[in-house]
Amino acid sequence: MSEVLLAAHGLTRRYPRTASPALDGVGLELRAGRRLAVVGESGAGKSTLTRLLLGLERPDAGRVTHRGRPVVPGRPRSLREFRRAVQLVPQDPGRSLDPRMRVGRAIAEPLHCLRVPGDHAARVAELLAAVGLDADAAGRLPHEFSGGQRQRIALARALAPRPEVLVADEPVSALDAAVRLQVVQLLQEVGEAQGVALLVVSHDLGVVAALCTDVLVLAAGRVVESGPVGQVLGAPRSAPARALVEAAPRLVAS
Amino acid sequence: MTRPAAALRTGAAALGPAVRPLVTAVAAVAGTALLVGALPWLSGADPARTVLRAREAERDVDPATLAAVRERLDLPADPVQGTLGWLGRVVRGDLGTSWVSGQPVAEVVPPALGVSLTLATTAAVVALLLAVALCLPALARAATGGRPGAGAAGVVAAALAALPEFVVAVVGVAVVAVGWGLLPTSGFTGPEHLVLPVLALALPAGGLLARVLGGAVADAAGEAWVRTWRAAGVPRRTVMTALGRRALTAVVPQVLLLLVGTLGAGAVVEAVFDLPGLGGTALDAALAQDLPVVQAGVALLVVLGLAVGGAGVLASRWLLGPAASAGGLSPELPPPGRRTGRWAAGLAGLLLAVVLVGLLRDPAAQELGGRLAAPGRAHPLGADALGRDVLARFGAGALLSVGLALGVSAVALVVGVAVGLLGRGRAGLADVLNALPAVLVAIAVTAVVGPSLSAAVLAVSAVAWIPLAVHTRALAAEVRASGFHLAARTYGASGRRLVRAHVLPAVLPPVTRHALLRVPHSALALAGLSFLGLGAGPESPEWGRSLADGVGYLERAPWLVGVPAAGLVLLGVAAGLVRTGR
Amino acid sequence: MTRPPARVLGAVLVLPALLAGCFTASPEAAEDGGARLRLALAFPPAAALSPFSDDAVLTSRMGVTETLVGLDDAGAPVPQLAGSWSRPDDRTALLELRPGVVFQDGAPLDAAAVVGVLEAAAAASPAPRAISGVGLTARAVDADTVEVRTAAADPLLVQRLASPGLVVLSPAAYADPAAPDPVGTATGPFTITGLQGDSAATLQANDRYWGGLPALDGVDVRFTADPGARTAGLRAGELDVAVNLPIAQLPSLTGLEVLSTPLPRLVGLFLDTADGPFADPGVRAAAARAVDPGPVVDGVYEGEASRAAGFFDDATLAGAARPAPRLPAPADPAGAVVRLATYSDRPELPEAAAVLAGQLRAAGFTVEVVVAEYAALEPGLLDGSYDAVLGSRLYLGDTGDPVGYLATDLTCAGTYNLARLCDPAVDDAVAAAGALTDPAQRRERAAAVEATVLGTAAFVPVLHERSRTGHAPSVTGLATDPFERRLVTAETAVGG
Repeated sequence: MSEVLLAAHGLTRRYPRTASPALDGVGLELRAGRRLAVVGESGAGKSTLTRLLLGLERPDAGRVTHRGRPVVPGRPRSLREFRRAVQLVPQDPGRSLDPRMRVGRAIAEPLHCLRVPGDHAARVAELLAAVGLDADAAGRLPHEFSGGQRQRIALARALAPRPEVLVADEPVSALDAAVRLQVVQLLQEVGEAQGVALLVVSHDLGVVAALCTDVLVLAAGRVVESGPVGQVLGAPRSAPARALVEAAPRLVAS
Repeated sequence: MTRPAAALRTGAAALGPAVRPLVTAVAAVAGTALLVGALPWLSGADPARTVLRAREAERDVDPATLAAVRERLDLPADPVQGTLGWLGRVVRGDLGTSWVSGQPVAEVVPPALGVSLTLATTAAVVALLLAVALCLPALARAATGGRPGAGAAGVVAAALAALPEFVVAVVGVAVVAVGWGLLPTSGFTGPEHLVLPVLALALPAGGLLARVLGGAVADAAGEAWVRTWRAAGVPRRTVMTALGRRALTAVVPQVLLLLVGTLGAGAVVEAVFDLPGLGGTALDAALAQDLPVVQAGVALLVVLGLAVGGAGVLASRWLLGPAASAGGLSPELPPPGRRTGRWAAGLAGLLLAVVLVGLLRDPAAQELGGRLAAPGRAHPLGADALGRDVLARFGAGALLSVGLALGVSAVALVVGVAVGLLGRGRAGLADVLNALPAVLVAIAVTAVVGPSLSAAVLAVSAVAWIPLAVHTRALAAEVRASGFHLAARTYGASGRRLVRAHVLPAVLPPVTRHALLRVPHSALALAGLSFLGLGAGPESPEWGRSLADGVGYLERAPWLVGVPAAGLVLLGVAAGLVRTGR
Repeated sequence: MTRPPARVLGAVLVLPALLAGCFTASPEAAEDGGARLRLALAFPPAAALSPFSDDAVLTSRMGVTETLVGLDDAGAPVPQLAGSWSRPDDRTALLELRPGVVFQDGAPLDAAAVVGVLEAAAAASPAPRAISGVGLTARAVDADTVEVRTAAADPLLVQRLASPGLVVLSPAAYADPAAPDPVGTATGPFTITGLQGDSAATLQANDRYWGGLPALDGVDVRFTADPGARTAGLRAGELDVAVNLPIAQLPSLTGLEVLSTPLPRLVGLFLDTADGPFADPGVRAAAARAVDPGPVVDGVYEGEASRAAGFFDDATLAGAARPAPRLPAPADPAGAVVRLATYSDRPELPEAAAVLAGQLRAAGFTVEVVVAEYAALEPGLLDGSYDAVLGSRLYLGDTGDPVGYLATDLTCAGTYNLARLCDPAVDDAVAAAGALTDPAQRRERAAAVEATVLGTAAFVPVLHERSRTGHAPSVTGLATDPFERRLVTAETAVGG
């Protein structure tokens, strides 16, 4: 078994003025070379889980570990190692890029912030090529690109510090169908070619089936089922998983 | 994390939301009360003397009289003791008695505050309505996909924003009240007395708000959802309403600032219309060093300022709606506006030309035989009360007025942006300082520094940054609620980097535009302090000064007011049309 | 989405109407309209109309309060509440009260009430200016006679009783002896029936007034501090009478009349004789030479003032010979830097200062003008921060005596010595004049002392001011009092 890169134990998070907790005792393990999907309906707690895994918020109980070391949200300097290793591909390509910042600079920003040594300009060119964009994209502004291209730019930015783990929060839900396929293929290539473990949060089972190796099902803030993709989607045991699968009949067949 | 520490943290976190505003309020009240209480010590003016002077203007002061007054006043030994004693009494509900009139402060300050509150609230509402009305063309254009930009309504707004309030007040009285007899000239016994004072306050403020709102509309027009809605065939009115609501988030805190600021600072308008408001009461009490009245008035204003400021923050958050939670906003680059830079250059050129012609003439030659001469061959723009050439004084005053105003605005911009970025979306120093009457701040500054031009600049700068800080705070909140801000945190961007690379580029263009709009105000504010002996001196041709001196001759020699006012309006319109980038 | 914003909008628009309750109370409507005068006075009450402050002038002008004696235009005492008086010795005065006078609350005016008034005034802290430091005591000799004594010989004892601080109020007014309340307790032709904070007052005619039934049914008084607002109210027809109108707006008063009375108020340049460029008498003489009041009187004051030859105007000196002052030989200013200060409370002073500065500059001085409100300027005026002060001073104090002014303003121990003049010759002359008992002699001596002081060139006279009270043409019977104590009288009427 490959080593555990990112793990969570007993994560609980409660927001003020809500009756039930957003997350209640959620745990998971992401091993190197694996691609884990976290699925569930809206309101199941997926976004909260993402934020906790990325160290953006502190859980009320439980802990997140990276390679066994606990991740404590705090000053950027103490989390630098963690952030180099774990990166986010955000959900909405329209929102995740600063409209005033040129693409090249945006992609190079993680390199500056995380003090990654080396030639940043060359790395930017390399990344643009890896995601299938022209080299002259570096000088343009985000609004000059389509939604799918912006998601590629976001992916390039996430890959800049050579992370071990990519957390993709609904990476393709904001894109249209044709573009969706391209981005999914890109993620797959990146996962295999660059040896990056993926944690994909999604409500779209088609993407999950195409891209991931393991699945975790969340419902009402709790883990109700987990296991390899084929097993969970083919023969779901828990009620929420069954409901999800039944809601997307065509896709399971592929 | 250990159990006790976690429990303590949760407990503190639960208490936090209620305790922090309370602590801020108490600290602000105590701090300002201490500042007020320390004024006599700072300025070295004996309160017994100033109180006596307020009661008997022509009394000659000998030591025996002063001793008698001092004994009656029961002055505290030092400011700290005095403030503690005052706080103790306030907690028990006793606001003290006025040193000058002997009346209980509770009978003097709250009624004055009520009057000012009525005036300020009505003026704020009217200003907001005016701003929305002036922005309707731009809103309609943005909703249908036209090129956003100022347009004629924007120029009108910029011109209104540059008008001095007391000029509007005096012209209103002369034309509407005396000339047409439609409204009463002064007093405050019924709603008809509200109309002219509210117009005097709301017209300039509405113009300024209209430009800020217009900028926000132009910025919001570039957001993706607008295009989507238009493409989906959503009716224009719905798009306009949604765009307006989105743009209002930047403007609502400004309206509330205006409301609170007018409470204490409306002394000039109150004087013209003889309104028994808090501005005049606080000013007279401050000049007489009637500390119980000033302390009570200031405390009430500070508490109100914090409350209203906090309400403004909440209102902004409510207007943003669920998008305010992490990652929800998608600020886009605003589409390129109309090319107004050439107009700005043209107007500035016109102004410069007139100034240059004026500089060729002699501004100081008095000719009492030609007092108040009408514009003609000898004096193209007329002569003032001492027969001096108005055109020459216009030119001579330009450098001082414009230079000082630009300087003050620049300082205000830097300080305002810095403070606005530091604040974390709570009511704080800016709201407290805004609530304090600006004149009080000026008196405090004069007490410490002594009357001079630099004291005037300091005093004006001390309050000029506040609207810019509040604007920055609102914009920064929007940026911090955006997706790319969240993303930047995930790749380790430090707070400083976030500010420098993401927040500043989004905040600077609109706030710089706002600062430019306020340039005429800074010129006027400097002149407004002249009665304290601050500012450019009584013979200075500075525009604000000329305006103040000419107001008394409004009907006999309208050019005395018209020329400097036109200069300020041109300056304001030119500044408002300057392009500051996207 | 449409309903909540509409509700919010509605609430926001209704809010100001709700706050309409925050207007000040309007004066109660008069019982039956009737002939009422609408008057605007120049400053609001500072001390709840207590006579121990400038508010005494307000109540006196409104026709509410009266004193034991009044002063005629020449400053001699005339009967008011006291019908006659005598001076048994130089420390005592015996006053006979007018019979049949009743206070507005019904109590009779008798010696006991008057003694109470005088004792309360003497015990006030600080005491009214007129009796401050003279050790005044009073005693009721019989029901109608009051004996008033001072600690030392005092030729002006009876004149002191004309001071507004010594208005006679009924014993019921002295519930708080430090702040007597004139509402309904005075003796004048009008009674205060309502006070709206310090913005307005309502007066009703006092039908028990000893001087006869007032021609008016009542007066509605507004305290409007801004001169522009007073003028606007008069022009718009909201006021019948407005006091202290600014000269700048007089030409716009078409269809209205202006009562102009010469005031015992001098305007002139006080030069700092203690230090600075004006310590040298020659330089002072040069400044005196350079100043020409003509442009100030004709230009700035538009003829609404009279040129001054000295401190006192001709009416005050009542024909006493005015010796010509002998100024020292003028010296060359040689660009001496002069800081000239004046206050902005009187709107014409800053303009006058600019004109005078121009004249001084033409004579070779370098002048820097400083203008601020009096309250902001006062600390520096008396300690020599300014080399020249353009001041406006009432030179007939409460007692109508010019010598008292000289003592206050121009002696070494004077409490308002703007010129910081300390000349033993002047001090001796003033002391000698103060010892005289005959008013005519005092005036002559005052003229002589004036010449001595003018000879030091410590003061450069500019002009004497006039009062300007605007009124509608239908108003008659307003008093023209150079001491600005009386305005509305029982004879005042608003014609048809």
